[in-house]
Amino acid sequence: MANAIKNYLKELSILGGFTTLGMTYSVWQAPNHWPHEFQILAGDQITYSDALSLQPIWIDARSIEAFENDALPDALHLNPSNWEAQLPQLALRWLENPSPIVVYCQSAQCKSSHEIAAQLREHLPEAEIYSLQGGWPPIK
Amino acid sequence: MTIRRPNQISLLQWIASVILAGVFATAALPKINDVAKFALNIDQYQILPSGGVTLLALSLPWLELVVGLGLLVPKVQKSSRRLCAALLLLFTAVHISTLLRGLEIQCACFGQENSGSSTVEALLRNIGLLVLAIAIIYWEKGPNQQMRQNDN
Repeated sequence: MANAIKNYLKELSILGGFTTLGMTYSVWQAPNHWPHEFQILAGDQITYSDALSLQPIWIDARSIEAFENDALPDALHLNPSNWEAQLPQLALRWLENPSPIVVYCQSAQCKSSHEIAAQLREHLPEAEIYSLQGGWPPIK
Repeated sequence: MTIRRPNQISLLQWIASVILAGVFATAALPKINDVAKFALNIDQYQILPSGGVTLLALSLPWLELVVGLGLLVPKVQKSSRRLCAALLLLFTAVHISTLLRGLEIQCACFGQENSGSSTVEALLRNIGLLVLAIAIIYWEKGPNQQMRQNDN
């Protein structure tokens, strides 16, 4: 029994050693290509730095609590819970200053910014509308 | 109950090992060539934070390759068989979780970005491979051992 365990540990250390060597090769081979630094954008996405340069109308699609706690200056809170009330305000703001609209939600995984951006495109077909890549974390 | 002769079992075990080794190596090489693309694929599953995604994208393809080749090397065969089954079990659990969460993800299991298989296809393929991996482990201890016992 002890011998069997010893053999397994020996085999696992060989396999682990080769895997670590391989990982080292990958790190050495592509030091400038760390996956988390890659920014492949979905069709409607924009990065925070690119969005800033556009001076857009910011739409905060997070919960009202998160919005009241901290949000971008001049951001408009808009999500399905207050859609009817806030949409005319957004339309008015956009008509006064037709700059691009960027929607952000809580995290990189949340989908509400994409959904709201898609709905806004139906209501404001002339507007340039993006969903912010990464959601709220890059802003904060 | 008929018990297969050891050399028949060894042949089946060898064929199954070659199949699994081929599948694991074929799956690993494109991911090693493009770690970033693989990381983005892992990220779609929404299971790990970005640091974990990076680590997994760097380690998993090499582990697949080492375990796959290890299936054919007698010195590390036993552990490779068990790791191979464990990996397939893990992949199967991930695909089930993806289905339960209603995510629509094209599995780039073999590195293809656009021609990846659907979650259901990937799940079925994984279950098939898992059965094969478990069979290899079973043949290692099951019928061979029974035969030895019968001989005694």
